[in-house]
Amino acid sequence: MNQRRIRNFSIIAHIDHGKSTLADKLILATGGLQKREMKDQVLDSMDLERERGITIKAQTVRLQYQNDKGEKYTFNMIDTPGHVDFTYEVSRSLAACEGVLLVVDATQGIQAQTIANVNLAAKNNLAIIPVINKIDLPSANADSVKEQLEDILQIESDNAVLTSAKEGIGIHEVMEAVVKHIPHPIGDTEKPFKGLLFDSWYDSYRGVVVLIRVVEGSVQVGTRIHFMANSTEFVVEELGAFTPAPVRIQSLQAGEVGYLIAGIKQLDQTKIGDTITDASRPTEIPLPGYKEAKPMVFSGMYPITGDQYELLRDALKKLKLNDASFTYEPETSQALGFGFRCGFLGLLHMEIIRERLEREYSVDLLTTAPTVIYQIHSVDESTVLLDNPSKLKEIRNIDHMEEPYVLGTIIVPEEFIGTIMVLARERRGVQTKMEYLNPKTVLLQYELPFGEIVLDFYDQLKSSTKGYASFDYEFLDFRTSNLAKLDILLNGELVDALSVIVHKDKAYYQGRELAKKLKEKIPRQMFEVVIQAAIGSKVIARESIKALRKNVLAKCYGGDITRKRKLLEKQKAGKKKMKLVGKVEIPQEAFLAVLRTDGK
Amino acid sequence: MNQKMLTDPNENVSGGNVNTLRPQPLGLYIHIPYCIHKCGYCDFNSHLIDQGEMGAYVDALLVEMDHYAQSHSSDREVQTLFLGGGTPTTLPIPQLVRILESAEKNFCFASNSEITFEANPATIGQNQLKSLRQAGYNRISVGVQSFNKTELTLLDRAHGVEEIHCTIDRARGAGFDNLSLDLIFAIPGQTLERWEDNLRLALDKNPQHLSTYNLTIEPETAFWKLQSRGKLTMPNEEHQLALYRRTLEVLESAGLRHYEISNFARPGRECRHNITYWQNGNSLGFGAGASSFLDGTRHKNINLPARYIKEINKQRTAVESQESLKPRRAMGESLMLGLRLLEGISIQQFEERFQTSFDQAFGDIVSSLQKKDLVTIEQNRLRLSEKGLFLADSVILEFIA
Ligand SMILES: Nc1nc2c(ncn2[C@@H]2O[C@H](COP(=O)(O)OP(=O)(O)OP(=O)(O)O)[C@@H](O)[C@H]2O)c(=O)[nH]1
Ligand code: SF4
Ligand SMILES: [Mg+2]
Repeated sequence: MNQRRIRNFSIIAHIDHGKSTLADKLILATGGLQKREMKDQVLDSMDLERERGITIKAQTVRLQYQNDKGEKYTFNMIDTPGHVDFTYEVSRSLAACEGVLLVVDATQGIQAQTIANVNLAAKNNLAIIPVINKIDLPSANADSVKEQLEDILQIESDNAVLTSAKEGIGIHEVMEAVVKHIPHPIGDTEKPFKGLLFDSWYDSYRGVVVLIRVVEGSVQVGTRIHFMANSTEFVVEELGAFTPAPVRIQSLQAGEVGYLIAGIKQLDQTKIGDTITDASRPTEIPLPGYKEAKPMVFSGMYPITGDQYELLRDALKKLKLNDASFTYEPETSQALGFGFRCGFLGLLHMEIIRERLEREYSVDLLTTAPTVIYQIHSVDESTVLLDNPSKLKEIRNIDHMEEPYVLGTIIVPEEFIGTIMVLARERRGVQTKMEYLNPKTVLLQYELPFGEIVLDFYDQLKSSTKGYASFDYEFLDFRTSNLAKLDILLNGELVDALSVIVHKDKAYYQGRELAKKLKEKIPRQMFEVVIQAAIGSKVIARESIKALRKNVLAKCYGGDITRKRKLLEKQKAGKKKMKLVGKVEIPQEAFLAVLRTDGK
Repeated sequence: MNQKMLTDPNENVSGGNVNTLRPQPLGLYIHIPYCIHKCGYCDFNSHLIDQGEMGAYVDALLVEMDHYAQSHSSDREVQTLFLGGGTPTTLPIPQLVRILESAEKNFCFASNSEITFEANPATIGQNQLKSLRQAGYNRISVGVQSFNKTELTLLDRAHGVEEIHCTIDRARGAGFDNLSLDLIFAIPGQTLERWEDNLRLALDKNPQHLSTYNLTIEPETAFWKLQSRGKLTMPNEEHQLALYRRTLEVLESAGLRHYEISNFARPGRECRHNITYWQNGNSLGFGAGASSFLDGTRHKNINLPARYIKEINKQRTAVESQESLKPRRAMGESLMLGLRLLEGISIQQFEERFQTSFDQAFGDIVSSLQKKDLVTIEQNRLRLSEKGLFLADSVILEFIA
């Protein structure tokens, strides 16, 4: 294929600015799908994506475009997710492209992830076409977005295309701009095959499917290929492209994007960012690749009833096949029994995995409060990574502890600066930057302990700024902190699954809050339940849940019977979801109570 | 609590005996969904009186009765009839007489059948009561709720204190020797003393039967709205418990027997109709929103009177929903109902009914509840302990599927 007629690009934006809707319209306009085959955000194919209306997994589609002059072009388009948990999906997609469509919602303007994504694009030296979307909305202000593009991102706004992806306005202009402004790939087709593995997943019928961008040379069906990082070899069984329907192709050449199937059985045999080459005629220098996405948020997942342990284990194994970015390993809790410690990219990622386990594998799950990962340094200079607060007691001779820090970027209308400052201070944030993007909008940056923001920071940010603030973060490093383990005792017994790591300055406050929250969340039992929060052997807060003394329906006869029974059956269903710890029945919400303690 | 009285073998409350002595017993319930006014706490199927509709309603009732009688009257004997509401006495007396006549024409009644109607104070006069007694109604249940003026106002009842005395005295005068009174406790602001006054005033009427209901605030009632706006606060749990305990003390020492969570009676004067429900026995319900339970299947009629009438006129039935439970859920239901009776449930009967070993199905649950002192098993009957009585719902929950 003539590389001059190829355009490889990603659609990037802040969450919800309309990437997937734009992708729909591009697929329609190029005839990738017919109108009757179409549905909104057609590339969001997972149930969860459709229900939540968000993109979780990047999707690559090959489209055929014929321009006004009658020239035919091949577009390889990647629709990326906007949520910060899945930034990794964006960065790996960009490595396969020469340009991006930067979608900006004309009613919201530039938001935190817009900036983060532009930075990623710039790092990859990609051409950027601004697409100002949702111009159909009455509150759209394209001119102001153009100004922001120039002022904040130093992007030429003359090239900006105005669209309403929803109404199908400006789609033709987008395609013309792609042809005009995104450089075609240049790769030597004669050189040995060199391809970038930028995505892979497990298909239960085909095994592992790998997405590649051919950088140099070409690959054919039957070629024996070598994965350089993993040092494994396979024979290519099938090559093709998604249009979005899979279409087989005999060979892929420099500049092209497509899928590859080679009898690979396990996802971990492929490494995202790896370089693939021809085993008999290897390339000399591998591509730089990129850093693996490491889980930063951890939580315990336990079956509600012990008999579901095997079910959970198998489910995790299967899910892992499809999602290399989450990790799991067996762990045991005194309170909860046998379960798994799982690692996630962020809270949304955790929620998604949890939901998939529950609905696709019908496991009744109990999830413990998420925690970030800590580095524990011993006096003998050894370091342990701590992903479960209750394991802290097993580490001897601790010298000091470190917690992860992030650089948080907040964009907010100027009137909320004070609010943000207070909020950030409560979270132990240190301001490193404040910049007026225009007279009304400010960009603030803070170095924040990740543990302070991972749980409810974003919610609080949104609610205290009437929804105007946008937030993005990236990891910085680990820093020494004055940390302690906060334990919870129920009727005198330590419940290891409720332990959390807190900053010592805030321990008292958090202990009290947590005890209070638990009191709200744990239903009354037929005996008194005493909740204590303790640091070491020192109790710092105490609450008690009075024994249930009276619980009896006044009347129940005639027409009431069905209603009352259903009421009880519903209560029973809720009760079955509780975990019995010692004698106390604890609902899932209690384990997540720590999520909603406002850090002050 | 006097345990001995509860197991008095002469009582035909013991479900088994009722069933074996009189095969195929049946209870009839007839619902009159009209009231002159909607009380603040009411979540019954009751609607404001509608003179234009009420005639057609009774006609529909008779059609429905006739319909079910054809398939269910031959092999069953009616032990009880209960005319409830709403307020049945919002109908003209001749209509109430007509309903009973029609029931007696359609079904075969036992000679000693219990025939109750509910009456609210201020809705019925002496002569009318006499007519009903003569027509064959032999039990009257008066919706007193409270003898205290302030409480009646708070409950938003349509009658005053005087009218209560008047109605009860007239009922006695009309020859009703089987009298039941309904009272409500845990009314916001109600002290122990005031509740006890209520109980004493009720006892002064020498009732054969007393129902004392703990006020609950049900969704979508006027009280619910008040409560959610912070304008109504229920007494706390400890106080409610104290009121309930006081009820037991006062009524039992007055010789009334506590036989169901909310019900008390002179021995032999238990409400046989409601016992049918608690023993999950067969009953047929007629009228808007009424439920029937026949051989394991329960169905419920349409609630709205106008729609009920329309459906009956169209097809002689007005069923809105129907269910027959799988054994495990049916067992839960039977236990939910049976444990409300202080005599509990007969394990033998339970096993006969469900063709299963009780111990196998519930042995673990029972022994854990026994350890917590919430239930007892004596003479092969499972029942709530005294402690369990106050926690009946938590106990019952353990048996629910
Ligand atoms: N009015 C209007 N709504 C739009 C337009 N484009 C997208 N939307 C709506 O915006 C919402 C988000 O659209 P998506 O296409 O899912 O946004 P996204 O950028 O893919 O979102 P993520 O993948 O979750 O980051 C949906 O409700 C769309 O219908 C537009 O041009 N006009
Ligand atoms: S009298 Fe009874 S049925 Fe009628 S409104 Fe009052 S509580 Fe409800
Ligand atoms: Mg999307």
